[in-house]
Parts: sequence; C-alpha cells; structure tokens
Amino acid sequence: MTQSLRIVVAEDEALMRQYLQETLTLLGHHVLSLARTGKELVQLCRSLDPELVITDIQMPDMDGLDAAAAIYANDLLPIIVVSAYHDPELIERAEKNHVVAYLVKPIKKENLEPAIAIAMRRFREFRATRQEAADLRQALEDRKIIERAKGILMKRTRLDEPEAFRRLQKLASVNNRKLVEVAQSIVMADDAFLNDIS
Amino acid sequence: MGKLNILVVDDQPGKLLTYETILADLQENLRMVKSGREALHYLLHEEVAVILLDVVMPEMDGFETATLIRQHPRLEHTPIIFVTAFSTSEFDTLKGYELGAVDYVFVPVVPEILRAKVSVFVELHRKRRDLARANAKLNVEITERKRAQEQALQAERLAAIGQMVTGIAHESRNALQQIQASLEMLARRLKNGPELGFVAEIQKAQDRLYHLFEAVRGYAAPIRLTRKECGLAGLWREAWSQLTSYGQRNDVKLHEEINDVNLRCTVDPFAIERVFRNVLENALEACRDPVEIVIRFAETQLDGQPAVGISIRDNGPGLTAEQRQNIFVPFFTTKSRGTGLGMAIAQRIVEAHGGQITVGAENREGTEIHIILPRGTP
Repeated sequence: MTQSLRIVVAEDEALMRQYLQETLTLLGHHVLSLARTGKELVQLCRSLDPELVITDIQMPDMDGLDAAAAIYANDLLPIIVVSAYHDPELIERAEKNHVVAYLVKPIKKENLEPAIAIAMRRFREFRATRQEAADLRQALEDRKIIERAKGILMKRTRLDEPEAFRRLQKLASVNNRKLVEVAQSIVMADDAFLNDIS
Repeated sequence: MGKLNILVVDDQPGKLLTYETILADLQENLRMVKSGREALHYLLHEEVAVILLDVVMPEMDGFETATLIRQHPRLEHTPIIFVTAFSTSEFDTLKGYELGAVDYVFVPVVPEILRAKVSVFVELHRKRRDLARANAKLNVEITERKRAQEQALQAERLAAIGQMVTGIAHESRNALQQIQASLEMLARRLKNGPELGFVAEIQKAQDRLYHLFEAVRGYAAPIRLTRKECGLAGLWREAWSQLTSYGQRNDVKLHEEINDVNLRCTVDPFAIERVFRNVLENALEACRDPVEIVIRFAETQLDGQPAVGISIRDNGPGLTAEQRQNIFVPFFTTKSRGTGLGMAIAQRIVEAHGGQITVGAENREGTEIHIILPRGTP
C-alpha cells in the first residue's frame, strides 16, 4: 500500500530535520536531501526532481510558501507544509500556492503517514484532471482547424463534406502526417492565397 | 401620588363622624376605629401617615395604646396626635410627649387647626416616603452600575488573558513538536524495558497538554459562525453517537421528547453540535450506569423572536451549590481529566447565536441544562 517516495525536506531546525529524515525513512521513503531555507529548497527541487516536498513555513531567506510558489512556477510537485502557525493569512497563501496538505505542529509519525498517502492521492487526481483538461482543450483546438480545412476544401473543390473529410484523411495517410497537421497546412495555404495578411 | 392612611381612634362614634367630616377635605384614606385594640390590629397590617388618638377611652386609654404602638420598631416614628380635653393637666400633656406624641389637639376641636396639623404630618410622611423610594432606586442604580463596572473590568481582564493564553498556546506548538520529535526518536532507540513505559507516560502527558492547549486556544479565539438552515435532531444525534460509539458504556439511553416542535434553525451546525456534545459529555460523565438522559423541546421566544427551548436532563447526582454557580466559569472542573472549558465553550457558542444557556432548578434529581436558541433567519 505504502509507496516509496523520493522526498525533499525543508526545515530550519536541526532536530526537526533529523526527525523528519528518520521518520520518513521509517515510513519507507527516501529522503533525497534536507534544505535549511526556502531558497535551498527551490534549488534542490530543480536538481533532484523529487516526487514529494515537505516543508516548514517559517525559514530564513525565503519562507516555505514562497518556495512553494517558486517550485510550482517551474514544475508540478506535491508540496506538504508543516507549520506551528495556521493564521488565516497563512492558510490563504497556502491555498494560492498549490499546497496539497497543511499539517499543524506538533505532528507525529502516525499523522504523517496518512497525510502523505492522502496528499499523494489528491495530487495524482489533480494532475490527472489537469492533463485531461489540457487534452480536451487540445482536441477542441484541433477540431476547429480540421473544420476550417474541410470548409476550404469544400469551397475550392466542390466536394461535399464526407468527401472533403476523406480527402483530408487520405492526405494525412499518404504524407504520414497527423490529420491536424494536414489541416493546418491547408488553412495556412488558403491564408497565403486569399487573405491580406499584412 | 397614592393616598395615604390616616388612622383615627376614638370610642365615641359621634366624634369619629366629626373628625371624618373635618378630614375628608384632605382626600386621603381615613380609617376610623373605636378602640386601641382595633388601632393596633390595623397598624400591624397597614402603613399609616399619622394617628389621631383620643386620650380618654375605656379599656385601653390613649397613653396605653401609644406605649404599645411605640414598642413596634416599624411604628417607632409614626406621628401620634393626641386628642384631649382642654382641662388636661400639664402633667398629662408631658406624659403624652414622653410617650411619643408629636402634638395635641384640644376639644372642642377647631376644624381648621385639626386639618392643618394632620395635613402637615401627612405631607411630611409623603415626602419621607418619596425620598425613601428615590433612595432605594438610587441604591439599585449604584449597585447595578458597580456590577456593570466589575463586569466590564472582568471582561477586559479576560480578553487580555485570552490574548496572552492564545499566544502561549500558539508558541507552545514548536516546543510540543520538539518534545514529540525527541520522544519518538528516543522510543526508537530504546530496547524493550521499563524505560519504554516512561516514554509512553511522557507521550500521554504530552498528548494531554496538547489537547489542553488546543482547547484553550479554541476557547480564546474569536468565534466565527457560519450559519445555515439545518435540523437540530441531526446535530444532537451525531454528538450522541460520537460520545457513545467509542465508550465502554453500554447502559446509556437518550430519550427524545420533541413534542412536535419544529426543529429547523439557522445556526452554525458544527458549533451547535459541539454544544450538544459538551453538555451530553458532562451528563455521561456525571452519571453511573444505567444512564438516562432526556432531551426535551418546546417552542418559545427570546426577545420577541421565535426560539427553540431545549432542556437536557440526566439522572446523575445533580450539582452542588458551588458547581451550579461555577458551571460556566472557564477552567472550573470536577473531572480529573477535563479541561474545564466544555460548558464555558458551550455558553460562548450559544451566546454568539444570541441564545441563552442556564442550569435548571436546584433540588432535583440529576442536572438539567436549559438552552434557548433563536431560530435565526435563513
């Protein structure tokens, strides 16, 4: 059930770094590295490509939430914050910065285990949904271009719709190209012949 | 204004009639009696502005009557006007003054003089009475103002303490985390042995401390209500099932007497569930098995607004006078493990909803908690 994760941890307190390293290892994970500051955390995430980030909020030079924002700008990673504070302002920042879980200190090994499991699950669902949305958006874009290309073919060759579509398919297969690529070329060529694109 | 009583004592009905005619103009209550005995009887029950007392009467004369009247503390200063024959000796007049007479009227009575004398005492009495009333009112006002001042001071102090305690509870989290981390790492390094038992004890104490801090923080933090329309039944049943599902108690019963009361209210469901939980938890802890808790409902009003009256009664030993007085005081607890905040939090939540929570009448089997919860507007 528990899956071993490659984790980067950020904590400014030595005792907590040791505790998290030891506890996460006991839970079967692999702690890649331990950062002391937010900046270190951002760098480590870039170089180590972890599967999960666990970070304190209050840290010197850059806090955990700013670090989360910097990491998110670069890469989509699940980030769990652990803090002694949970003021509304911090929670709001955590929400904005795509944090998957917010644990309030003191935490124990038995809190950490389910928190990680649930956070990972939510994160994967989120990533899958996001991918699905992106795929759908792309499909819709492709569809629009194919429709335009079909329209152009119908106008120029007096083919009916099914014939125009079959011709597009044939062109794609003969040239070993994707249907949308063929459609794109036709739309572009049509623009070149007909429209004033200055 | 209110009419005042004038007591006239004379054994001769004819004279009583004369006095009545003379004094009628004063428009006060005239009370005519025929003997000292009757006069005393009347005075025991009524307040009198002035007494017109005939000296010469059979059985008990005016002086005797006056002596007896004066013995009563309430009547010590009631003015007495003696009515006596003009021929009375100096000695008798003096005796009358010694017995507390304030004045004399001589027969034959001159109506204007009698009326003037009586009216002076009536007015004096009226002024004194009004003054006493104003004084009493002032005293009440002063007491109320003092109480309000004390309350304001207390509230201010509580607010300051609340802020401080919240700060401590907050800051304590880092310390608690260090203890927690060290404890876990220590336990991992210890071989099985008595040392682990001590670690477990520290862990238990640490957990208790943590819950205490959280409770304190929760109590001190400002209440933010998220109201929505919901049925109360779901809330107390949820609270009840939470309390009884883990417990080792099996002989516990909750009787519901809904009495056809509409249980839909616009409240913060989590907060009100907590109120039920805290009250029911106290009830459960106070009682030995078999526990019988009755939750009863009634339609009522609070400040003219429709409200639900809720009463929760247990069959425990009831509360002592001290417990009754302090039940809502933060940190007052009779349980060995309690934080002493349960009822204080319940009160805070109910009051934040504009409601009231009180302890029921004393000398009853078990404890009864009354809650009046305004229905609120959806």
